[in-house]
Amino acid sequence: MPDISFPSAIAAYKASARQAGDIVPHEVGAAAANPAGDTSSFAGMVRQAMHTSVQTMEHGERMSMQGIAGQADARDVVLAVNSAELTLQTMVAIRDKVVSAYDTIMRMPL
Amino acid sequence: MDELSKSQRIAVAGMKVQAERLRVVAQNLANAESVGQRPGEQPYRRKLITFESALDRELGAESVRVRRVKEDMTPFPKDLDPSHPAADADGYVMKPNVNPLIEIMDMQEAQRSYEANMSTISVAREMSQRTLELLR
Repeated sequence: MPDISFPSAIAAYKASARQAGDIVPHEVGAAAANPAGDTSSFAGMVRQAMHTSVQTMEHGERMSMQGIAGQADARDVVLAVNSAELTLQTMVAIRDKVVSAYDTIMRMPL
Repeated sequence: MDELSKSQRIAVAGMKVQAERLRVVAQNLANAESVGQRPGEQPYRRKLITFESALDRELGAESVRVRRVKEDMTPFPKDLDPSHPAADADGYVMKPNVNPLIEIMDMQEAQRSYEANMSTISVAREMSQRTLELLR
């Protein structure tokens, strides 16, 4: 069975974002010198958004683990898991939007 | 951080103080019969919890926290029980100044307040999810 846990999905998104970041600046040419965290390029913005999302997800996982071990406050666990869930939903919704936009462009008759 | 997440954070703070309030109520109720062992020794004194608003700089909003847990200084009621080891010369024993009825009411209030904060969380959560659905 393929590994479809949250962190691996996030890692996959992150990797694709990184690849996109590698590709896009080369195509833009002038933007190739942009540092990794630059928010002026689209790829940089995506990467930064991904990074914060991953942090939120990791926090959610860490809190759930502590909750299971009985070390964390139940309310903090709920809050962290809640925001992790919302972050994932946001990410998926935006990804779907981007993919469908790309799809529309690809299906454009030339 | 967006406003809806902030609302959730503040509601969680509210839930935490209400949980602490319930802890104090539990302590009072459990010790409602805790008396001294020798004459003149004081019984359990009822605890009172007070809250205060606190500016959360990270959120930029007023959160809530426990101010302090203090002691209720009302006098102890006395029961006539000459055979008790803590009875004074007249045969009276000092009982804790805990009124179970008041504690039950306090417990109800803590429960309602906790539920109100939970509603805030679920409403904030639903609002953000419904907003996201606009993207679909």
